[in-house]
Amino acid sequence: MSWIYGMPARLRLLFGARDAESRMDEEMRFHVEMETERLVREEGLTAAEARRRAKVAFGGEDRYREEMREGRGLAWLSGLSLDLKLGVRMLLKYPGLTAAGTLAIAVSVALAASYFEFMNDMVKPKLPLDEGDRIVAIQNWDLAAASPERRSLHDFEAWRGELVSIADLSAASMAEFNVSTDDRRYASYRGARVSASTFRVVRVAPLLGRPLTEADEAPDAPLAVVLGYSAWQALFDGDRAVVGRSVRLGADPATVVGVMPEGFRFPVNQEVWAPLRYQASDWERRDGPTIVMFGRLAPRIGLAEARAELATLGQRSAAAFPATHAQLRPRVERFTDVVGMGLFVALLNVPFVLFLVVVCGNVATLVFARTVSREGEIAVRSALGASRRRLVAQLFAEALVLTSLGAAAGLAAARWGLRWGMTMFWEVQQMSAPFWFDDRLSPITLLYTGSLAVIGAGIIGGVPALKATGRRLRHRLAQPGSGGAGMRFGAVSTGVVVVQVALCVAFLPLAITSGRDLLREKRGSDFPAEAFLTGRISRQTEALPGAGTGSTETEVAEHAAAQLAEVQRRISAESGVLAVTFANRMPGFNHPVEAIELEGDARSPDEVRVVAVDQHFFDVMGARIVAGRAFRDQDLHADSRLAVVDRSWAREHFAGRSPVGQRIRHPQRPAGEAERWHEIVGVVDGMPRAVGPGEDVAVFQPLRPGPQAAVQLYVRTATAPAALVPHVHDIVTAIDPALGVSQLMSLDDAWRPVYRANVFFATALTVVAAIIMLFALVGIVALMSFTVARRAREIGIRTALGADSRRLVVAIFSRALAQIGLGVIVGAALVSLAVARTSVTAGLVAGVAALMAGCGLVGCIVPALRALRIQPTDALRAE
Amino acid sequence: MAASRSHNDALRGSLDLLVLKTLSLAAMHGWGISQRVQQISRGALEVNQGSLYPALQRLEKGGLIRSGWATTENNRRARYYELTPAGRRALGEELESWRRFAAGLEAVLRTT
Repeated sequence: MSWIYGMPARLRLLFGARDAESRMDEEMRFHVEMETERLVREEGLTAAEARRRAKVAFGGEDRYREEMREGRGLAWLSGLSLDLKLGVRMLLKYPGLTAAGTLAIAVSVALAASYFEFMNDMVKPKLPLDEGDRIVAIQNWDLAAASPERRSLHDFEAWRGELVSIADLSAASMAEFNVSTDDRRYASYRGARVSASTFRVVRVAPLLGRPLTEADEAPDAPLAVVLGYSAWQALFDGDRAVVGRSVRLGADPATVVGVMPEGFRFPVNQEVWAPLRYQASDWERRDGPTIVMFGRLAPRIGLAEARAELATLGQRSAAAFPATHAQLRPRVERFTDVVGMGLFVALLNVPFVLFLVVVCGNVATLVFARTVSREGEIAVRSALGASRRRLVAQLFAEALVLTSLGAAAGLAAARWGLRWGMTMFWEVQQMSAPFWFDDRLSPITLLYTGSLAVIGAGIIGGVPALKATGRRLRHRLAQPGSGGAGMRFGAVSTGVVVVQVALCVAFLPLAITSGRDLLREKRGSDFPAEAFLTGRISRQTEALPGAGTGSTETEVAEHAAAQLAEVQRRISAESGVLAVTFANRMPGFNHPVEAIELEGDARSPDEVRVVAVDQHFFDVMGARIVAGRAFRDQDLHADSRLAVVDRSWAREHFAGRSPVGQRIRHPQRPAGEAERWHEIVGVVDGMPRAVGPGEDVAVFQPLRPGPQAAVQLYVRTATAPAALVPHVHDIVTAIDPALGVSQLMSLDDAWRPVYRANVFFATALTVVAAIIMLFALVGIVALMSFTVARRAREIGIRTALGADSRRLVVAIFSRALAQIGLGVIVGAALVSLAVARTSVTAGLVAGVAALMAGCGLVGCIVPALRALRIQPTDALRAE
Repeated sequence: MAASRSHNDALRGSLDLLVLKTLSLAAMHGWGISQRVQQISRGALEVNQGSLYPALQRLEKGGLIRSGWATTENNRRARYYELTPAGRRALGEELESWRRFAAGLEAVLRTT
């Protein structure tokens, strides 16, 4: 029971530290005064003498104070706050070290925190929906192809009726919707055809109107559409009377039945939702549109149970339809694992932590040198009764102040940089972020950063502190001013120098080269990108091939080609238009590489970027055909197997021979296509720079318009491209309302994100490289001079005893060179492993190595000279 | 080390006992307690007066005594301590065990 009575006192003592102190003061003062008065009264002493005796009788006031503070239970806390205060004072005392340390830690923390946050969003995203972790996705996995089979309409219909562990099994088929309003507003949106149950799965109520219902799914029901918030704002200026208004989805009239709240972009980044009306019976199994399937785990059902149920269903399908389903296994995963962008970034955070460790190691070296200069102070404090734990705690707290400062700056930079970097990332990917992406720093990242700061403080403060307060400490009290001769850290210093040099040699040339490459693209571009209008022409895919339209694939393709020809003819007729051309994609944007095989060349297939272009493309882009010919009108058909190659690529791969007449093929294309050879008919020069920044295209093939494929339009103009935008849009939709143009802008604007990303990465690389470099140089100079300074007396004595000073100098420098040399070798080995595909030159590596060596020597020279000048008498006297 | 600790503990224990015993008569401030302890022990317990204060804090934290500011007869502000019910109980138990211990010790000393 007594703890109850003690509770108020405990709390008061714990939280009222200041009160407790003043109470203690007052009580002790009162005591001494009372005792003084008593002595004056009873023993007739003078006031001064009585006071002295009273104090003696009381005993060591400070000791009791300390005892009471400890008794209060938070002595360590007040000790820590004292240490932190001391830490701040130390930082102010050594501003150079503080600035350099903070900067270095800030950069590494910014990198580590941004990366951590990004990976967290990528790898472990949380759906911001009610019980979002219970939403799962189902997909058929093709064991033979090791890829998902998304043409699963038949399975969807079967499972929807049967599955009990997953409620409201739904499907979505992603689409691009060209939406136009009655007052001729127009925009192109990512959308999805979804089953009505989708809205039950997400548990998000519309902002206006209603969600899609099962009635909307009937093929003969009027077409209903639900708009996303930004589509509603853009097309209807946020008019609340939008429900019931009619729009067109491509060519089809539809009615707006609802508007979803801001931020809702399910399944990924969709803005428009139409009912899913596909019937499985229109297609064979494993044919038809691609869909994603998802649902909510039924109440009290776990992922494992859902997996078990689907496995059973999968086995049944495999037995019932062996021809199509023998290799298919249904999988149930967390929604974001399946429906994400298929971006599997499996990199770990390890490189960044290592980087931080190295930076901290560097700062630690500098701090260590400083700790050595405080050796006397440490020894005296230890002699006065400070425990080793206390001393280490103080040095750790000092370092913690430094790392916390750096971490705070780093977090601020990460917060800013992440927003920037993410915007850029999605721009370059040419897509908008999934709705669950969040560019704010999550609490877990803050926690992570906090632990980085503590780890960093451990490296910077803890390790030198443990060394400095080691067993030899006592001996040092005898000679506190002796320049740290007692402290050794030979192995540590060698390790730091070697790692440092190795990192510089490996990383700096890479950074310099990459930075230069990235920036050169922008500088070297003399292509008039601002005189081009570009946009993506896509077709509403309402009628998929084979869905009972009656036309063959060839007919559909011919129709599409005729339409493109018409688009070209009409746009060319506009005033200010100089030329019009098409390609299958915008080169230079996240452009995938494709394996390519040269006929008669046994080497492994090269990986290149391939773009399909029409017959005018090279002309319009201002490129020259330097051998053979360009494509002709008659080349642009489904059966043509021709190629034009880039000159510099050809020079590399056809050493001396003319590429014209040679043949290439694409071994990774689908069967039937992979075996066919493509004849090289021409060589083009002046293309890569013009086509796109950063990503050289090696092979061009004739553009074959297909029924579904979107094409990239390029219009060369004599006037400002922006003026043409409305005309181009009108022309395209007039030819066929099912055609839509999106991302219509000047080529300059289209490329800008890539430029910006390049400049950003080049800058980031440069900053990081500069910081590594700076630290390496400072660290090496400091270490070298520290090591040599430690031996000053020894050198002085040896000189006094008649040692040849030249030999002494050689001995000093050879140790430094050995360390640097080892670092260079390790670094060069790293470079040779990593740079197979980059243009890092041996000269650059050698240059960095020479710089490192030079700095190491500079670090040696000054203390070595000083040591050689020491008078032998001085050296001996110091002993 | 161990010996000095046990000596301290014994001293500490007896000081606590004395403080509790003193406070069982009336609420008192620190100096008053020290005077009283010296009086009743007739100077046999030579301890620094200051060591009283950590003991008071310890006892208060343990819930055996409580304290509050009050005015002395000379009209000065002082902190007064008094026993809590738990302290009163503890005093009884401590006295009992001390007496047992002292009697035991006495018996041993008499027989040897």
